[in-house]
Amino acid sequence: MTAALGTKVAAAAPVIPNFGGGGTCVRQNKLFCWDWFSAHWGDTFQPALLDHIKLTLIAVGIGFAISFVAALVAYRFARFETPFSVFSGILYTIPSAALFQLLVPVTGLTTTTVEIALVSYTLLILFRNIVVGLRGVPEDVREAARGMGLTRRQTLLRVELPLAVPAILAGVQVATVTVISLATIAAFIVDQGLGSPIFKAIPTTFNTEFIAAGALTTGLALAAYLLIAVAQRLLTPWARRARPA
Amino acid sequence: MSRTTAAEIVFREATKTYPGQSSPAVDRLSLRVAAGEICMLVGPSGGGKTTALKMINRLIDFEGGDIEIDGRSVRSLDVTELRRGIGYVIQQIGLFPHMTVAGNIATVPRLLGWEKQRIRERGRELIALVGLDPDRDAGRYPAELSGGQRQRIGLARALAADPPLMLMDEPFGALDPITRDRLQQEFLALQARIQKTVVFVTHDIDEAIKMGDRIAILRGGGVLAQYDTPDRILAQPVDDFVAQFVGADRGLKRLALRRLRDIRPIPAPAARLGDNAQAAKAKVRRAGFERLVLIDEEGRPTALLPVERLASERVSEEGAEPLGAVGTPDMPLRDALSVMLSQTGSHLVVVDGAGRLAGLVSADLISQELASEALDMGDEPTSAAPERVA
Repeated sequence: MTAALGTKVAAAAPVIPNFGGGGTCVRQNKLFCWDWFSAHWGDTFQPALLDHIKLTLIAVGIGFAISFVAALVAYRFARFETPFSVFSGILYTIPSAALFQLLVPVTGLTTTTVEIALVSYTLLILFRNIVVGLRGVPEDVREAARGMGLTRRQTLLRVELPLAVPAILAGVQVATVTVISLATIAAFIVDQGLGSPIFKAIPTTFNTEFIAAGALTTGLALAAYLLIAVAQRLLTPWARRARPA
Repeated sequence: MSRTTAAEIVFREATKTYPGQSSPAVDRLSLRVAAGEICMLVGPSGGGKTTALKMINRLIDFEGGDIEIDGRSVRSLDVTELRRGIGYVIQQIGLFPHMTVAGNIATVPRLLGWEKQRIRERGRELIALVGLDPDRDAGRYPAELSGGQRQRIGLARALAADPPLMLMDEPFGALDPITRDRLQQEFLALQARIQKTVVFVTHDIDEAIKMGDRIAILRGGGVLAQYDTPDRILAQPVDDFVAQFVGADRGLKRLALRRLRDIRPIPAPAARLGDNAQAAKAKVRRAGFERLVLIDEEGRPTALLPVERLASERVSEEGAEPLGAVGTPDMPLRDALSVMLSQTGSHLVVVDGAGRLAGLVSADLISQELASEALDMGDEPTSAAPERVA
């Protein structure tokens, strides 16, 4: 793939490249050409954006499922907390490019490779936030629940998890934004996501494709951030009501 | 409100030793709390009172002895069922911050599978019962309430499923003195209606005296020092520990427990305007009181007339003094003494519930009353474990 890009760039080098038509804006290679962008929305950007969202949702979803189970186990049995923290911490520190190198021999140039890498970067954040959220439930609340005859499971479902929602969603927020940003390098492995147009544009001097894909990625991250913030407000009406002074 | 009979609780040599401790936290505790009574567990920190309380709903499991609720061992019951049948109120309240007032109160009824409509009605009833406004407060979150309001809701939540037994662990301990006093009064008024069996932990002997039908004083190491009515604990502490714990002012504390209705007043020399002055003078002499109490047509006292100013043939208002404060049947003896001390004269004019003259009470009469009570009790059991079960 990179080889193909290379030849394309080499061939185009002497003359002003023609990236599939476009007017004077493209020929003069201005900073951003709306014409070109809207002409290629359907064949390039929209599919890339949708792929990117899909990559992100799968990574955060799987990451959340693993972290959630691990956090519940660590909450119940404290001795499991450190091992999982260390494990997810190590994964978090591996440079993403290196992680791809490690995975490609095993899982090949596939979406699986990409998702494994992305998931591994969500674990530390999600795990820690879920555990912190559960641990943050006040002791008196827990004792009242026990004293009223809630079982352990009822206490978890009706009291502890709802009270941990702000911390959990804060974790989901950071994890999601991180994954959206990281998912651009999935293009190293597969021709998917907003990283793909960015990678294609990097070796060229053409601005629009590069800027459009970058802006879409940033916009997507921002939108996800806000969406989760709104969800948090809706899910935790109790957290922002205080006694009028 | 729906009626549940209150439960009887019996501790039988109940013993709890925490792991790693050489001596027990609660040591062979035996006592019986009759149905509908308030039992105050009181003692110094580390005396094991909270441990004893939590053994009842098995928040703390214990190995020695037994605790029975209406004859059934707490150990024979399923622990969640046991707890759902017991109201539990703690100092830190422990309201669920993410649930509204109504949601908090609905906790146990939901666990018990009540219908929605019944839960809703019960919630509104309880919010009103503890002095809040169902329309305004049902949808509020705990963060929107004051400390006193939160503890009221804590109480309402504990009462939700109408449990026959309430466990209260220093419920008013974190409140300011004024709010605490109000909640104590309200709880007593509420208890007079709902008649639950209550086990109530406090470190405050004054609260114990005020609230308790009986007081169990635990000394260090969870040993029962004395289990008795407040009056007997004050009148006849079994040993120096109890005497010291209740305080050197226990005589005054007893005064706070009794009310004027407990004392039979001496007859007051009374006359209506226009009565024969000579007859009135004779009454005053017999009573040993230097004033004549003027009363109106309904028999209500209106003024005091020093006997030497009774000059004319007929009793008139000429020279009369204002009546001042009078004693009512529910006035504590302590307050009655205080009024006497602040007014000239050693007697207090006492009226009945309708405001009619009932008689006079003197400081002597009050101290005689206390002395004779203490004497009467000489042969009654006051030892540490009168209810010990074989």
